[in-house]
Amino acid sequence: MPQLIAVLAIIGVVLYLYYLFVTWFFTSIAPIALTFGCLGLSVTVVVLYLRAMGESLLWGTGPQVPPSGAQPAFRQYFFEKAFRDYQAVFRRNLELNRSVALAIGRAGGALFTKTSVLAVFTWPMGVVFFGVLFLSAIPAVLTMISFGVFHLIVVLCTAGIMLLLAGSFRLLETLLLLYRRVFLACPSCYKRFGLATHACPGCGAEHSALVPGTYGIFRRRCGCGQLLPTLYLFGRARLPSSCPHCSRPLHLVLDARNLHVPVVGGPSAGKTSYLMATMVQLDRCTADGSLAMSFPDALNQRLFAAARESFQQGEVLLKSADLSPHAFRVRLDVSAGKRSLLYVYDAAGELYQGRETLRAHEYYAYTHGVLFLVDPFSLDAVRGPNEQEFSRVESRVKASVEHPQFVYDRMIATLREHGRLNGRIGGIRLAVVLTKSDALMAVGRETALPPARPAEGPTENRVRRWLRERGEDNLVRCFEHDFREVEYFHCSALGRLPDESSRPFQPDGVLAPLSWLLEPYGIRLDLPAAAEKEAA
Amino acid sequence: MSSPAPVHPDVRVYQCLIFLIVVAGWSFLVATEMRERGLPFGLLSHPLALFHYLRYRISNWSGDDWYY
Repeated sequence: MPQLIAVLAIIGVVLYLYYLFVTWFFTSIAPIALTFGCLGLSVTVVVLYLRAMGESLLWGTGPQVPPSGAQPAFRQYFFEKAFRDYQAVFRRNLELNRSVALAIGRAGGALFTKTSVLAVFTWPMGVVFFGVLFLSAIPAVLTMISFGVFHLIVVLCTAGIMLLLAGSFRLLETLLLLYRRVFLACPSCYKRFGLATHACPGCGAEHSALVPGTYGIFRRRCGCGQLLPTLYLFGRARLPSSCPHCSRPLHLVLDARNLHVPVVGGPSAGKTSYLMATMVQLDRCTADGSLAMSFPDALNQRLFAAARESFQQGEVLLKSADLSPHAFRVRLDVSAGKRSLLYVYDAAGELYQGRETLRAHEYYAYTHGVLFLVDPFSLDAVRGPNEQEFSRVESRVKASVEHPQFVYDRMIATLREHGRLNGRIGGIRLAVVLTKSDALMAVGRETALPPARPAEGPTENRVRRWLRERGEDNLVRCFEHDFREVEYFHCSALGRLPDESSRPFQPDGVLAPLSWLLEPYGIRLDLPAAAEKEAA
Repeated sequence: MSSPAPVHPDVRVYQCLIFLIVVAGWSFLVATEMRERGLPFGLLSHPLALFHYLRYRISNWSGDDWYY
């Protein structure tokens, strides 16, 4: 019995001591352990977030993002990959936190399941472990969310700043083009467009919107890896480009104001000869350095070279056969620092015999002036009374069979369709050019132009008088009714009647109409006497 | 095992930039929190640093300083 009492006493003492130990642990050790544990876990969450960021952003690559969207290019970092990286960081952070929580849980659980004797002493620590886990759950989640939100705010703000920057540069470029009065028009399909399609010089992929935006501010990376400039300021115009409507190649010129001038006249009115004679004369004007001309399109360069050669050898040019030809583009740099890119439209005269095809010639919607060519031999009043004399030169003159009145009516109807004729046309000049003036004298004295009167005004010059005397009052009235500014000129694109000789052609009076048309746009073609013997 | 695709230099620069901004920004927020609340409380309440900072800024904008 006493032995039993002694054992019970010892057990009681041990249990009391154990109670004291547990009480001491939970009153003295556990609060400190819990505090430091919670603090440590909270800091660990931050460290784990930074580690997840480092793995994705610094020593890792983050998820690979292929080219996406409408353009064959990689989106700029802040508009796609930054968000993918963010997702990857957040996911990785969750993984890391989960593994830490599991590790603490496992460690805490192990303190309960140690060898039977040790577990008696280690379970309070296990309680602390689970307590830390439980108490730190809320701050840990808060830290994760808070850090994640802050990271997201940074990504969104930088994307916003980049978008603002892209918009600003896009606006700057638009304003610059507006200031230079440059607008884009396709020389092939005549449609206007805001932005050309650019091709990557590396892989040929077509970028329909190569502008500052979500694919890049100053440059974008094509799917093939090539960097492409997104602004004209940085050389976008040097990339191969094509029309977004007809996909034909373009050669963009963006530092010169573009001026569009159609050459209108019936078949065989002399439009092609007139155009090329003008170019030949302009080329002669470049000799004194007051004017520089160049051709952005290689095709036009070749056409001009061939025409100059033909003029030099006294050979007649072939007539234009295309009803919807490419605009003949020539860049003019005049001495006053004024630059212009001249689009001259030389459609076959047959075009003006019907309105259906003419309707598709959209350049009438934005033309800056009209060169209207009148073949004097298309008038009955010239041919009729001088039938015999005319028959002698007929094969060399190649008279137009279409009366200019019909041609003019169709042109005006087209201008009206394109919204350029509400009442009288203001702002567009009409230069009426009587062609083949050299042949008039050859037919007879009666058909020749009357001598100029002194102090003859612009509305009453000898070409106008000549037309009225040939019964073309109605045509003259139409000109002056429809256009606010009309001027009359005469010219000889070849300078003489073509014959079998190889004497060079000397164009006469061809520059004056163009010079007068371009004058309001600051392009003054100062005509040296050598180049322009006689202006009308 | 295939090696990871190379990262474009500009992307790497942007990634570092984001990392630095997040770390610097968060450090600034936590530093502000600790300066205002003292070290232990500031450290304990750092998950709410962004919330506190935004609330402080908003209250200052509205002219009603109810932060303290």
